[in-house]
Amino acid sequence: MVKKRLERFISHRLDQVPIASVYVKSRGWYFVIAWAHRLCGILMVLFASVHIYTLSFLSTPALYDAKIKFFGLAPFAFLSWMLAIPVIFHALNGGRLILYEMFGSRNDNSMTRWVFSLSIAFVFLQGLLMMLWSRSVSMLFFWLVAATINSSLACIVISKSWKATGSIFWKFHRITGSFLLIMVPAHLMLMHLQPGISQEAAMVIARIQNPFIKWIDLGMLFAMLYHGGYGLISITGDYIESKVLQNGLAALIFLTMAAFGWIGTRLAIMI
Amino acid sequence: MASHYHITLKIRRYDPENRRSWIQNYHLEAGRILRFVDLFRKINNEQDPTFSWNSSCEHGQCGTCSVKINGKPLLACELLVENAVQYFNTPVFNVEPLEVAPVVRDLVFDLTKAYKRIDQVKPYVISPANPPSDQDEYSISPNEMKQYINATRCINCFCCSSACISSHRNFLGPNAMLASMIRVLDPREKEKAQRLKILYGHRGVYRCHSSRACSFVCPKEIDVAHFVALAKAGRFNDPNNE
Amino acid sequence: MNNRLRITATLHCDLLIIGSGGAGLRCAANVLDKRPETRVIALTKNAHPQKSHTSTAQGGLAAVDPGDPEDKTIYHMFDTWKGSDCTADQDVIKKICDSSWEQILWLENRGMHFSRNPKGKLSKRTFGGHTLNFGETSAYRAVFEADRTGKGMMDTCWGESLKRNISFLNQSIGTELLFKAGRCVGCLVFKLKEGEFIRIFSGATVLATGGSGQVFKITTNCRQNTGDGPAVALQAGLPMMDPEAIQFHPTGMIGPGILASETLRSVGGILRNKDMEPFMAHYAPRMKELAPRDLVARAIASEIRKKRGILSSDHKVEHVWIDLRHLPDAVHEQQIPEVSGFFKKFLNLDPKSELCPVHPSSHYQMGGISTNAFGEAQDHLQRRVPGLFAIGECAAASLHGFNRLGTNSLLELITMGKFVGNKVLAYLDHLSKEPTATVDFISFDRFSQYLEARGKNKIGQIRIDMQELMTENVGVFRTEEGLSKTIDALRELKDRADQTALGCKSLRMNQELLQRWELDNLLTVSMAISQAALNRRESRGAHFRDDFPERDDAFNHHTIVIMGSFNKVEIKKREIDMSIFKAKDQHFEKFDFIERAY
Repeated sequence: MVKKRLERFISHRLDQVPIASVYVKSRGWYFVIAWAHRLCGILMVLFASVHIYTLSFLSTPALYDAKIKFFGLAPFAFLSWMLAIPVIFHALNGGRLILYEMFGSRNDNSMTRWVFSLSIAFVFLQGLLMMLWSRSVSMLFFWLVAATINSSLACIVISKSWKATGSIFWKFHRITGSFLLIMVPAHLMLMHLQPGISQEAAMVIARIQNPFIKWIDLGMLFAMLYHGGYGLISITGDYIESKVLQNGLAALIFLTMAAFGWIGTRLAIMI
Repeated sequence: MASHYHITLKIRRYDPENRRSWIQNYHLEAGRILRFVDLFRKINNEQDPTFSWNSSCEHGQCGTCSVKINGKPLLACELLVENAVQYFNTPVFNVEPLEVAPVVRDLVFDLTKAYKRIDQVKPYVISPANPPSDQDEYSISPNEMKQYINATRCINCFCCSSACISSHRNFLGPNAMLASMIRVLDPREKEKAQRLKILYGHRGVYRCHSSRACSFVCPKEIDVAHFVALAKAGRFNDPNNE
Repeated sequence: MNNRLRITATLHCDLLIIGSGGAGLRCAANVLDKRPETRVIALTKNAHPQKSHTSTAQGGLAAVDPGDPEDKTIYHMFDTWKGSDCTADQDVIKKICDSSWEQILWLENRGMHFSRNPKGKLSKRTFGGHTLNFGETSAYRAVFEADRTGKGMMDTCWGESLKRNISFLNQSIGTELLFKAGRCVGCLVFKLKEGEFIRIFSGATVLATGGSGQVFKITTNCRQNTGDGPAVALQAGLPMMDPEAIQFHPTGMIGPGILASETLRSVGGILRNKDMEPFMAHYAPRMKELAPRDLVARAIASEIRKKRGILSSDHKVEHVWIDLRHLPDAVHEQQIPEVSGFFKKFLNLDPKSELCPVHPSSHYQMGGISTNAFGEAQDHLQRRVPGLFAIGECAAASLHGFNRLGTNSLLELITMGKFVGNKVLAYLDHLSKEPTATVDFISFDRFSQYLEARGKNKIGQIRIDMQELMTENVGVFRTEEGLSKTIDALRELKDRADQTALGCKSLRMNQELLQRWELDNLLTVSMAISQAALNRRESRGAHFRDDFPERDDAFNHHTIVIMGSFNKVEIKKREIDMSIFKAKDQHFEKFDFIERAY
C-alpha cells in the first residue's frame, strides 16, 4: 500500500519533469531511459579519456602530483562524487538491457525499479564513504571479491551468447559491458574516494605495481575502450546517413581508443 | 465528462508547389467520441477543403492515417476527442505528419518510400519448405504459432519507426524487423540464411537499443521490442548454425 | 483546356491491374507464377496495396475441405444459390466452389497464418447461411485467421506479387480505359502525388477497384471505395450488372458504421431492442441471429421503424443493441478480441459489461461490371470485350446474386483472381504486337472542367447530401416514390457538382481534385443503383421494395444498366445461368427457383 502510494507519488512527480515529460507521453519512459543511458555513456567516455590522460603523468611523479592537487578542490570533489550517477546508472541499466535482450527477461518494470533504487543507494553510499572512509582495509581483498563476482557474471553472458546467432562485435560489447558492470563502480568506490588528497603518485604507483591489480586494470582499460568505442560507433551508425562520414568517424573513434590503449598499456608496463 | 469540446488543431501544413511549410490553426466544436479523422473531415467540409490527409479503412486495420499528435505517433482514426483531451491534458493539439518519409502535402507522407524498407526484408516466404503432401496444408501447432502470431498483426503504420530512438534513415525499422522475424520463426520458410543476413546486417537489429518506444506507441499493441530482442538473443533454430 | 495537364510518359506492359486489393494481386501472383517474365503493373489509389479494403475483412473464407467427413461441395453450392435468392449464376457458383479448397491451400502454402486447431491443422468456424445437408444444420466451413482473415490474404497476395517483381504505382487512379478497334489497350492514369497523367498500354487490363460503399452515409467500407471501376466502365459504355443489389451489414457500429463482424453473432451475441427483447426469434425462428445478413438487417431496420430502437445522442442515429455480456471472458479474449476491442476503442464502452449499439451499415455491392464466368468483361449483348477483365467487388460474374453469404467474398477474390490470371495468359498468347500510341481520350477535358469550374458549392457538402439521400431512399427499404425522388435529386446534385470551384488548383496531391473525381463516380454509381432499383418491382435478396415485398418470377433475371450519359440510363436483362439445374445431376432440384426461408 505504502509502496504503491510512494510509486504513484514518484511517477506523478516524474511525469512533470520538463522536456522528459513530453517524451514520456509520446514515447514512453523507456525511451527517456535509453537516452539517459546514451548520454551517461558519452559522459563516461569523456571522463575516462581525461582520466587516462592524467594518469599518464605518472611517468613523472612530480608533475602528476602537481596536477592531481588541482582535482582536490571542493568543486571537483563534488563533481567526482556526481560521477557516481552516470557510472552506476549506466552499469545497472546496462545490466537490465542484457537481461532483457539476451536472457529473455521481460519483466522490465521491476528491473527498472531495481535499477533506480540501487543507483540511488549507491550514490549515497559513495558520498558517505567519501566522507568517512579510512584507507586501512586491504584493497586487494575487495578487488578479489569484485573481480571474482564480475568475472563469473561475464562468463554467464559469454556462455549465453556463444552459440547464438548474430554479430560477434555486438556480443563482445555485451560481454565487456557485463565485465565492467561491477568493476567500474567498485573502482570508483575504492579509488576515487578522496580525490587529490591521498592520491600521491607514489601511492598510485605502489598500487599498480601489484601484479594482480595491474592485470585487473589492464583488463578494465581494454574492456572500457572497446565498450565505449563500440557505443560511440553505434551512435554514429544510428544517425549519420553518409556512409563515408560514418566510416571516417568509426576510424577516428577506433584510432582514439587505440591511442588510449597504448598510453594505458605503456604506463602499466613502465611502472 | 463533457459531451462537447472546443478543440484547437495546430496543423503542420506543406505546399509542394512552392515548398512552403507553415502551422495553421483550426478551431472546432467536437462531440466526445468523434475521432481525429472525423475532425479532419469536418475541417475539409466546413472550413478548408484544401487541407490534405491520408486515411483508408478508418478503423485501425490498415495503418494509413498515422500522424503525430503532440509528438506521439498514432492512428488518427483511433484517437477519440475525449481520450485525447484526457491523455494530453489539453484541448490544443499539434498535428504533424510522420517524418519516416518525405512529406507529399500537409499530413500526407510518401508511404511508398517508407515501404521500401519493408520490401528489403522480403515480407513473404522466400523458399517454401515442402508441405506434408501435395494436397495438404502444413501442420503447425498452435504453440509454435504463438511464438510469432502477434507479430503478424502488424499493419505497417510506421508509428514505431517514427518513435524509434534510431533514425529511420539508417534503421530498416521495428516493423521491418517484425516482418523479418515472422518468417525466421515460421516453419514453412526454408531460406533462413538470407533472412539472418539482412536481420543482422548494418541496418538491422543492432540499430535497436531497446528503448521500447515501438511497443509504447504501437496501435495494435504488439510488443515490438520483444521480437527485436528475440532476434538479438539469437536463440532460434538456425539450420546453418547447427 | 487546362494547359498544365500533360502526359509525361507512356508505359508498355503485358498486364495492367487497376486496383491492388486481394483480387487484383491474386491475379498478378498467378500470372507471374506461371510466366515470370510477364510485365505486370498494378495501380492503387491507396497509399500502398496493403492499405486496400481487403485488409479489413474479418470473418473467414468459406471452402469445403475434401477431408471433411460431413461437408460436401454441393452443400456449399446450394447455400450460395439459396443465399443469392436464386439470382447467382450457377456456372460461376460451381467453378468457385469446386476450386475453393485448392485456393485455401495456395494461401496456406504461401505463408498465410490461418488459425489452427490443436492438431496443427486449419481450424474452421460456422457462419450465417452455411449449412450441411441442404439447410439442416450449421456447417463448420470457414477457415480464418483470427479476426483478420482479409489482412492475412492481402499480405500473402501482396508478398507473392512483390516477390515476383511486379511494378506498383501507388496513389494513382485509372481515369479512363483506352480502346482501339473495340479492344481495350490500356488506361490513362493520373498519378496523384506527382500530378501527372501517364498513358499505360497493356496487353490485358484488369479492373479490380473494389466496392462503392461510400455511396451511403453509413458504411463499413474504406474511404476509397467510391465505385471508380464501375463508373469508369459505365463511362466507357460498358454495362453494370445488378447495381441495385447492395448488402447492408446488419451490425455496423453506430457513428462511422465500422463493421462489427458476423462473428459476434456466431459466437453467441444476441440482438435486443429497446425493451431488451431478443427480437430475431420473430423474424427467423430457426436460425435467429445466424440468419443471412439481409434478413437480420431488415429485422433491425423493422425494429427501428416500429419505434423499438434507441436513439444515440452522440451520433443522432437510432440503433438496436447487440448483447455480448453473457459471453465468457475466454470468448471475448480469444475469439473476438479485435471486434470486441473496437467498441472500446471507437465508442469508449466495454462489451463485457455494456450493451453495444449497432445498426445496418452499407457493406457490399453484389453487382458490378458485367463479366462472364471467367471474369472477362462483357458488353450489354454479352459479347466479350477483348483485353478487358474485371474481378472482385467491382465486378459481377455473378457469384453472389442478390445477397452474398458471409465469407464468400474473400473466396470470390481469390478464386476469380486466379481464373482471370489464367484467362489473361491465354489472351496474351494470341496477342501479337504492342499497340500504337494514337488513342483518343477525354480525361483532360474532364479534369480541366474540374479545375476551372466556378461556383460556391462544396464537394464535401454535395457528397454528404448524396449519402443522406441514398441512405434514406435506396437503403434497406426502397419505394417507387423514394426512388423517383432520388433520381431527380441526383440530377440536381450532378448540376451542383459541376458548379464547384476547387479551393486548391495545384495538381500535386490535390485531395480536393481527387474528391471531385470521386464525387462524379459516386453520382454515376448512385444513379445506376437507383434506376435499377426503380426498375425492379419486386423484392429479392438484399433489394427490398416496400411496395413489392415478394419475390416475383417475372424478375428472374439480372439487371443490366448502360449509361449513355448521366441522364440517359438504359435497363436491359441478362439471363440467370441455371447450368447445375439443367445438368439434371443428383440433387439438381435444389437448384431451381426455390424459396429462401431460414
